[in-house]
Amino acid sequence: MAVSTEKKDLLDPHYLSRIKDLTLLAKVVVDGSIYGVHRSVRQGRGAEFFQYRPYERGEDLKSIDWKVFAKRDELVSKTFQEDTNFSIVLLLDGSASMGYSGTHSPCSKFRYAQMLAASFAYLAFRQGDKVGLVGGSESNPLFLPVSSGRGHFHRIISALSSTQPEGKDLPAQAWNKIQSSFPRRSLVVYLSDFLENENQLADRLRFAHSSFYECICLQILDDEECSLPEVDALRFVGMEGQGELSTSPKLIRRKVEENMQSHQELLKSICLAKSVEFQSLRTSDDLGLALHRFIGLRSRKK
Amino acid sequence: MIEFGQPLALWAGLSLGLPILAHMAYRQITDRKLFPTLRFLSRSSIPRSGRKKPSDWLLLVLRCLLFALIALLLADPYIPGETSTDDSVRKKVLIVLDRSSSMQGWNAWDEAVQCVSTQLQLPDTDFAFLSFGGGAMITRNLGTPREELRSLVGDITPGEGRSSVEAMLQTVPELLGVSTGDREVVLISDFQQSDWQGVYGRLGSQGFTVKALAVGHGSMVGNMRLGNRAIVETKVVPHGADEIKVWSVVRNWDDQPIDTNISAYNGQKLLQSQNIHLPAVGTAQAQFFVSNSSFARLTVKLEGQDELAIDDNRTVWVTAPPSRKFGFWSSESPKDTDLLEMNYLSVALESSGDGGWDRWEHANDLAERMKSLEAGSQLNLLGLIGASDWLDEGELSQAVTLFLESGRTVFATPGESPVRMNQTFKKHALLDFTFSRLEQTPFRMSPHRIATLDESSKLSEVFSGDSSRDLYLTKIRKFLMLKNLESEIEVPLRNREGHPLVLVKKFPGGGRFVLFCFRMTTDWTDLPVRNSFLPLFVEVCGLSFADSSLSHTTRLNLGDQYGKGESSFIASKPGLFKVDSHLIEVVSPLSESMPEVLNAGEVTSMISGPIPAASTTEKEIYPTERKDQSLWLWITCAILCVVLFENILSKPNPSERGEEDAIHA
Repeated sequence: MAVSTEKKDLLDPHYLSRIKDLTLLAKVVVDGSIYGVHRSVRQGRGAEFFQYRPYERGEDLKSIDWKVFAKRDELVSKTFQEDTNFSIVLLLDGSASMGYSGTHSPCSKFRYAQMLAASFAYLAFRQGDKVGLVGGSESNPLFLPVSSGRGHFHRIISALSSTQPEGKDLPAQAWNKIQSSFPRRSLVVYLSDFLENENQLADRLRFAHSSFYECICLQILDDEECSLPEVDALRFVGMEGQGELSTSPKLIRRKVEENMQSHQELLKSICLAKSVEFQSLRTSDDLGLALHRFIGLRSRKK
Repeated sequence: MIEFGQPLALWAGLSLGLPILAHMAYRQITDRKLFPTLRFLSRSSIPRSGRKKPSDWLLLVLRCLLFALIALLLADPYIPGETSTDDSVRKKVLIVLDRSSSMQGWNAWDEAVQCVSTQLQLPDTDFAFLSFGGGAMITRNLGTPREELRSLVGDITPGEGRSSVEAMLQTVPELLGVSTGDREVVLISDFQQSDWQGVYGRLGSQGFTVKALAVGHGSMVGNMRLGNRAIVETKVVPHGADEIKVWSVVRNWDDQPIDTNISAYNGQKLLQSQNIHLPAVGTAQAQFFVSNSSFARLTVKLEGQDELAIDDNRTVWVTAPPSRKFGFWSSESPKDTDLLEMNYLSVALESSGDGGWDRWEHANDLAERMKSLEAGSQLNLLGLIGASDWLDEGELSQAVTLFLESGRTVFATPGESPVRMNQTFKKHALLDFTFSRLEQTPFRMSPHRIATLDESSKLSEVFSGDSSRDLYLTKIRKFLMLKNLESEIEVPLRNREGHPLVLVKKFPGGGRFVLFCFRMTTDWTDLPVRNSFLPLFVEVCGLSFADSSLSHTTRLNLGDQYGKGESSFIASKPGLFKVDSHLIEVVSPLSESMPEVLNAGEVTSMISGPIPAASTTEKEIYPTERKDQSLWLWITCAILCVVLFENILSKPNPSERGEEDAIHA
């Protein structure tokens, strides 16, 4: 799990938010984060040889091709390609609240989710997994069924690039349609801020009861959402039409932090009840953390 | 130098503290912040945070400047005009010199000339000059050289008239102006009380400083100058056939009695002289009886010398006008009624007049000679008694027409046959009407009465008030009822039913034909026995002596006007004058002889009034005369500019507003 400092900097959202091309960004994230960190996702028993690559310390010694070592006095790992029917469904929240960006934040929550989704899609594409993109908002729904191949990957990247956060969350009818489209043996990655509808969350995650599905909920928050801006007074306006509220952030900060914490506890309990992984991320966190949670979950699935 | 119209408004400058206070007690601006959710937020009080030191200096200065400019605007700043010029530094003095008749006495004129000379020696002063009274006003504008003024005062002399103080007061502002600094009016006069009373506050209210220099007040008791005697009145009345009586009133204003001589002169020839005793501050009379046949004017002189010589003699007209003459025509064989009527009218007319210059004389011989177109011009009134067709005989009607065209008056009473009278008058174009009938009222019935006179008529002036009572009680039992009167006929008298009682027709030469619809006998009317008859007869026939060319001398004061238009006569100097055969006597006004005077202090306080003649007063009374340049427009523009900049600067920077727009609470 050791990651070099140089590579870690590359995963900093401050740096990544400057990269407009999501394909390139996904390559940077995936290559910088996963290289040498875990076993090849293609490695498996009875699998077809794929390629050699330099051995990284910490890798399983089983992967070393000792014949090559004998000939060239160099430790190389041998990777294999394995045929799978594993699918990844990226469920992206595109409601207006995802467009929030704090004063000192590197990017908005939606941009952060975009980067994560692109990275997951690229990872799936590189592994040969099928990947789909669903979600969006009431006014701008996303629905790209799972598929594989370079062309589909680019469609997903294109759809991600052209989507902007607006409007409210998806209605229940749209959710039902989305859930019915999930293929068997799929990993659902739910990217949202989960600030509303926690009462509906259990209903939305009911598919996770099935052994065919794995689900991970990645909550993306901005630092200012918890700590509030450093000003004496503000008139807060709800981004999804909740009205206005004038208050002093200084005076209510502690209470807001407590509220947020209890809210996250509630979300965790809901997810736990549904055997769903829950991870809260901040837009200031590097993307490797989320990627590792994703990879770990995928490994368990395999 | 900027001055302020409302300097108290500068206290509004204290409001400069307001923006400073507001700035230091600054309330945090509440920005509008888009936020993902409000569910975790709660309302709280918004703290107010002040500043320990100003943070936005430019905005603070701009706001302070804004308040300062508003305070300045309220104070009405202006740049005073003409106040700093050299012209206002020099004193402006108007020398007003009284030139009325009374200035000839008591050494007043010499003292006045000396006063003018002294005033002209004042340094740093511009002079204007005004001389009034005793003829036309003499003026010199401000800045006239002193030598010219000295020469002018040396040339002029006191006039004959009285002081026209009112005209002088109206001219002073024209000469001295009303908008420049220190302006003084120096009044040099003997300040006769009759002239100067009633000028209260006139010059003082206009912002002038008044300085009164009294002259001719040498020896006085109280307000009375001593040493003057005057002939205050002289009248001439007939006294018998060939004599006249000249009656004079002499006044002594001195505090000592005096015996003196008063004489009557025909030119330089002394006619009579008599001694007269004048009590102290009292009056005495003198009478002269002289023949009126040999001269036309007479001068009465008071012998000896006194302080004022112009009122020591008086010249009067003494020519007596001839008596006015009247005559009657009637038929060749007059009836008793005709004779009765003629006798009555003859007595009545001769008794009219004042017995003096206004006399009537019955001259029937002239009337008879008129029938042959002779001597018509010597007769003033012709009566046609019992007018009828006898006027057709000979050249009578022609004689009547000529008589009327020469401006005289003819009156007629109806004869036995009104129809023939009507035809005769119509035939000779004397009067055109239609005789209707003879209206008679039986004795047992109530008689006809005279209707109310037209208020605009001259007759109503004669019979105004109680005097009309007698006229309206007149009984008329018989009269000719006439109708269809020609348009040129006037009806000065009607009965209460509106029927004409007297007709008057005026002819081009000024003549007047009067027809009475009743006879002057008591079986027709009781008018002849009433007091109203003669005034009515005189007025209807136009025989008033005052209107006659023969009326006696008209007396005018100096400056008065007689008549109108081109034939008017202005009394410019004392003396006797004949205008259109009318005798006019012009006398110096009695007020100029009166020695009551006011002292300088009284005049100054009277003419200055209660308002001090200071420069501040001047500003209030004539605010528009100072061409001050108001600065309100400039300050208003400056305020607008400051408001504009303040508005620009007070908007928060986009970087401070966050991603979305912000609201300033």
